[in-house]
This record gives sequence, structure tokens and C-alpha cells, in this order.
Amino acid sequence: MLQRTIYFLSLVLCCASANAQWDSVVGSVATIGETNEHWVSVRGRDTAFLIDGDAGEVKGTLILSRFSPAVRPHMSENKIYAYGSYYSRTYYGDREDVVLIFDASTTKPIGEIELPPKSAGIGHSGMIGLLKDKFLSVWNITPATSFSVTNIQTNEFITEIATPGCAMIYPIEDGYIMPCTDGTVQYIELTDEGMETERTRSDVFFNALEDPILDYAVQMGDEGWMFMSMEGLIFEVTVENGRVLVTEPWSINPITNGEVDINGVTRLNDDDWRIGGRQAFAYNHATGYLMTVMHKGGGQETFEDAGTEVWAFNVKTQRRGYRLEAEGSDTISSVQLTADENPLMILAGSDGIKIHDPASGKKLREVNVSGSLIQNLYE
Amino acid sequence: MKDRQELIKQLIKDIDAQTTGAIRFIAGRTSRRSFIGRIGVFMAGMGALPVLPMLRASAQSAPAPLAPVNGVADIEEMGDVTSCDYWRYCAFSGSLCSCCGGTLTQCPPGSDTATVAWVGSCHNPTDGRNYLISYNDCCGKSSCGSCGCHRSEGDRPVYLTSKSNSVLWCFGANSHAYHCTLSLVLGPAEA
Repeated sequence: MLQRTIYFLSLVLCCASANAQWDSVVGSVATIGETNEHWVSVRGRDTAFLIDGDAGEVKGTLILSRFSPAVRPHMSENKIYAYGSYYSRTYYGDREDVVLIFDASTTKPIGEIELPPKSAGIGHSGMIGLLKDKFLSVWNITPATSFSVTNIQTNEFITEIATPGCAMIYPIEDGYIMPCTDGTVQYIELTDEGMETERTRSDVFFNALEDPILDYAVQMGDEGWMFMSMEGLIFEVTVENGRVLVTEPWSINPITNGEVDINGVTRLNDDDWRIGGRQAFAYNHATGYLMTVMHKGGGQETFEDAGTEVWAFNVKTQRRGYRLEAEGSDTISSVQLTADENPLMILAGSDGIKIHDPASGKKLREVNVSGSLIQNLYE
Repeated sequence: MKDRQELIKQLIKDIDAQTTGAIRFIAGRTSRRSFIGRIGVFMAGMGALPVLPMLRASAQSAPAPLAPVNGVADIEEMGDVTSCDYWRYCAFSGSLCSCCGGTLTQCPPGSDTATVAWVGSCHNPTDGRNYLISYNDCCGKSSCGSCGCHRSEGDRPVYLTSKSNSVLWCFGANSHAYHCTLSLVLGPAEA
């Protein structure tokens, strides 16, 4: 009997000791931790995945609406902005449009700014623009086009500015630029109070019916924005003293077809390729790397089609360095380069997120999430 | 080879006979002055021919002429309306309402019809005509998700709004939650 009692007490003590090392029943909540220039946001259906590109892991998510095409990180203030539309009964009922403000460390929503119920429900990063760390604007379509200006220092809606025939808002200098139907880029300058003070247009530099530029543009550091035409012409747009300037274009289409190289080998004919995708090109200003998502065949109507290759260019030489084939039967819909001097290339496609070294094209990591628009947390 | 040459000879002979007959026909029914005048007009008109559109396949037997189309009921159309290859879907992008409880022209039960739409121009192979197609979204419910099609012929960036399908075209509906898309014929594209 004594032996049995000692055995029972030993068992209880042993279990109690082990019990003390178990996890808390309710768990705890992680925070994002330290971020850097290799972090990106990838938009899922109504979620933004925050991904550490060096680790190849999702470190957190932001809860968006079903009508939130993009986010706008503002990491110097430890905030991430987005916007969305909400119905009182999910898909119907009373509509409410708001700018969403998230704490970048906790990913929790910490504020809202009410907007006119006009914001575009789908699109890309050109639908939301942060200007001078003060004005956050959101592009509207009803189908009349305009944009709503908010002040993120006071969290107030300021005004709505009409932009007939033009779309998107790309911040530059003291205002926003946007491509227009008449083949120009328009610049709308704002006052320190966020009101329109001046609007000017570039010279006509493209034909919207014959070879339109895509409405998606990529940033060239603080200098300007890069636009791409459906036929693969690249234009750089800057603003100087209120004037919109556009460079002469250069083409991503191969110019070496039929040439014989130094060893007598005829260069591969690759004329029959087109740029396409949801986020069809990416640029890193520090290195001059330019990546384009390419697919074989088709006409201009395929400008949103996913690609089977990524072509890597160097803008300094305006020449292609290599072609990267998608793995197996995968397709690629989006490409992004982080903005630092040693960038990562992030691809989104039919098989999740893939992280590559843009200098060599070599794949480094994979992240098993499904998403489309890829945005840098740091510009 | 011999047969081919004989055929060509016979063809030239036939053309000569036809031409001679035609000249005789005209000469017998006009005065010399009016004949010369009409020939002059004809010769001057010949200069315009190279710039006029010509149907090179005219040597083939022409399809039967179609009656004028005064409305959708007059249009001869064939094909599977649940297939992306259906002729009306040339500029389509989205889910076919035909697969979601609706039809080509009717939104599924419980959804709202958008009153503004993007338009495309599609060729109907059955009657050889081109038509303006209005792609009206049906809205106010969760996305149907069935029969997704993305042909997008003539699609343009969003700043050319009426030709862009990268927009939620639920304008005029009670909600901009996209459900599916109709394909309505507005009229002949040549008009």
C-alpha cells in the first residue's frame, strides 16, 4: 500500500512538473517586428499579406474590404494606409467608403477617414497616392473620373478634384500625374491645403487607340514615373517647374533578331512576344534593373494576360540581360523589385509567390500564398 | 500544264466576247457624243478604284444576301452562349450570366442591372456583319464565378473608360459588388 501511494504521488508530481512547461491555454499575439526594404505587401482577395522577402515568410496580414485594390505604406510613421468600400449587408445595403489606417507593428486598424462613395473597387497601386507625407488621395470612377484628397495629419477629407479623360494618381513634386485619353500626361498641383492650384499637360506623346500606354506606372526614385506602351515602348515622365516632360521612348522589343553573333550563331528570333499581366513591369532605380512579364503571341488585347517568362533589362544600357522561364506550367501575372541597392525580385503567379535574385534570375525562396498586386513597404 | 494554258486561252476568249458584246450593247443605245462622255466619266472613275475597298474573294460564289437587320430579332446567330467563343463575347471579361441563372440579356434573379456599360465591336460569323455589343454588369450579389471569360478584344487602359473592362461596371446599380456580365446587341457597328 505504501509503495502504491509513493508511486501515485510521484506520478502526480511528475505530471505537474511537465504541465508547468506547456504553452498557455490562450496563447499570445505576435507583432510584426523589425521590417526592412525587403518586405512587401501582396494583395489577396480581401487581405494584404505582409511578407519578409529575406525569410520568405508571411509575417502578418491586413484586413481589407472586398473593394480595396492596393495599400499605401508610410513606414516612417509606422502606418500602412488602404481604402475600401463596405456595405451594411456585405454585398448590398448602405455603402460606406473610407481610408483605412493600420498600425504597421500590430497590423490593427487604428483609424478611418470617411470618403465620398465613389472610390474604384478594383485596380492597382495607381489608385492610391501619398503626397508630401500629408495628403493621401484615392482615385474615383462613377464613371466620371476624379480623385478624393484627404489630410492624414488631421484625418479629414478635403476635396474632390475632377479629372475627365484621365485616370490614376501618381504623386510627384507638389501634385499628381495621370495618363489621359488625348495621349498626354496631366499634372495637377495642390496647395499646402490640398486644393487644386494648377493643371498642365505634357505634349502628346502616344496614341490611345494605336499604341496606348498602360495605366500602371512605376516609380523612378524621386525623379519621376516610368510608363510602358502596349507595344513595349518605355517613356520616362518628370515634372519640372510645373511642366510635364517626357523622354524619347526606347523599346523592349529585341533588335538582334537574325543577327549572327561573333561565333557565327544566329540570334534567336523572339519577335512574337508581348508584355502583359496585372503588374506587367517593375523597375529598380538604384541598379537600373527593369523586369517585364512576357507572353508569346496575341495582339494588344492580351495586355492583361499572364506571362510565361520574365525578361530582365538594364535601363542604363537599354538592353536585355536574360530571359527567365516560369517553372513548368506556371504563369506569372505580377513582378516587383524592392527599392534598395541589393533588390529582390518578387513574382506572383499561378503557383504562389516566388522570390528571385534579379541580377542572376536565380530563385531564392517560395511563399505559399495566392495574391496579385505586390507593393514595397519601403519606396 | 497544257490544260491550264487552254483554260487561260478560253478565259481570254470569253472576256473578249463579253467585252465586245457589252460595247455593242452600249453603242446601240447611245449617241456617239454621250457614249464618249460616259466613257470619259468611266475612265476618270477608274482612277478611284484602287483606293476603294474591294472584296478579293469575289471570284468565289457569294453568300446569299441577307435581309436588312432592324433589330435583335432579325439577327441570325449561332453558337453556344455558355462558351467563351460565342461571337458576342469578343470584348468580354468576367463571368457569363448565362451560367449564373441569367441569359445573354437578363441578369440572374436577385441581382441589379448596371445602367452604364462598356462597349465592344464584334463580328457575327453567321451573317458576316459587325455589331456594337454592350457589356452590362449585373451587381449586388457575390461574384458568380462560373464561366469566366477574358477575350478583351479592343480593351484599352482605364483612362479610355468606355473601352476598358478593368473597371467594376456596376454604375447605376444599387451596389458595386460584381456578379456577372450580359452581352447586349446595340446595333450594327458599321452604321
